Amino acid sequence: MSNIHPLDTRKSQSGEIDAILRNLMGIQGVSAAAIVDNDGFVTHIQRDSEINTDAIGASVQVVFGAAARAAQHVGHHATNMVICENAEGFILSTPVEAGFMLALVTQRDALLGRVRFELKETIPVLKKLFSHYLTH
Amino acid sequence: MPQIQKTDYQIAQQQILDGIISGEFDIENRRDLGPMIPIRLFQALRMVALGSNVEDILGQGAPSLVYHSGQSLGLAMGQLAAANIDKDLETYVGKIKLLCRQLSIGLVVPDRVDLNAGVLELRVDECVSCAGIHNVSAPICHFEAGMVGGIVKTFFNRNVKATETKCNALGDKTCLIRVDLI
Repeated sequence: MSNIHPLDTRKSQSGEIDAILRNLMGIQGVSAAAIVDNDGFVTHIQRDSEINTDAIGASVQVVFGAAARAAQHVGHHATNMVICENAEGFILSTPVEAGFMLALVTQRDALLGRVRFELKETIPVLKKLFSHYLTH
Repeated sequence: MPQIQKTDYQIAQQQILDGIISGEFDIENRRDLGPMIPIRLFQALRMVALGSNVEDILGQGAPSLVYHSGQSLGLAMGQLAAANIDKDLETYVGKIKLLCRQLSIGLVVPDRVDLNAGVLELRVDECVSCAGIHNVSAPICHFEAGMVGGIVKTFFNRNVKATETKCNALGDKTCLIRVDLI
C-alpha cells in the first residue's frame, strides 16, 4: 500500500489557497494564478480568461523539471523559480511543497520585479498551508 | 485564421488513435510479425523511454508528462466507448473493460463507485506497465492513472484527478486508481 496522501481539493480550507491566488491576481498584469500538483493537475486556479488547465498544468511541471535538471548540470543546485519570457508576457513557476507548484501567468505590461517579489513573499505562506493540509 | 501545421508526432498520434477508435487491431507492414509485441518491449518504452530517460531530462516533470500521455489515450478510448450508449455508465464500463482487455492494458474492475461523494476507484489487474516489476518506493503507473482519468473525464464531462493509490510494483498485487470528480 502506498503512503501517498493526495490533497483533497474540495476541502473547505482550499478557500485559503483560493484567497491567496486572488491576491496574486491583484498584481498589475497577472492574468492567471494556479496551483499545480506533481502529476500536472491544476488543483486551484484564478484566471481572467479561459485556459486549457490540463495542458498548462503538465507544461508547468515539465518546464520546471527541465530547468531544474539543467541547473543541476551546471552545479546550481536547487531551483527556486523558473521564469519563461514570452512575446506576450511571462510564466513564472515556483515549488511549494511535496511536488506542488505555484504558477503565475502575466501579460506583457506586468512588472516582472514586482511579480517576482510578491511570488517570493507568498511562497512561505503557501508552504505552511500545504504542510498543514498534507499532514492532516 | 492561419492554418496550424501538425507535427509528424501529431500525425502519427492521430493514426494510432484512429486505429484504436476503429477497433481494428490488424496493422499494415507487419505481415509476418503481426500486431502483438512482447510485454517487455512495451515496458522498455514505458519505463525507459517514457520513464527513466524522460526523468533524466525533466526530473520531477516526468510524471506529469506520463500522466498527460495516458490521459490522451484515455480520452480517445472514452470517445470510442461513449458512442451509442446513451450515457449508461454500466455499458460504458463494460466497453472500457473489453477495450482494455483487447489492448492488453490490464483487467479493469470497478472497485468502488460513489457518485454522491464524487469518487470512483478502479482496479487494474495484470497491469501492462508494472507486471513483473518489484521493490519500487512509490506507485509508478502514472500512464494508467492518466488513462483512467481520461476515460472517466470523457463520460462525466468533468475535470477529474486520478491518483494511483495501490501499485502491483509496490507489492499490492494490483493497481488501484482513485478518481475524484472535481
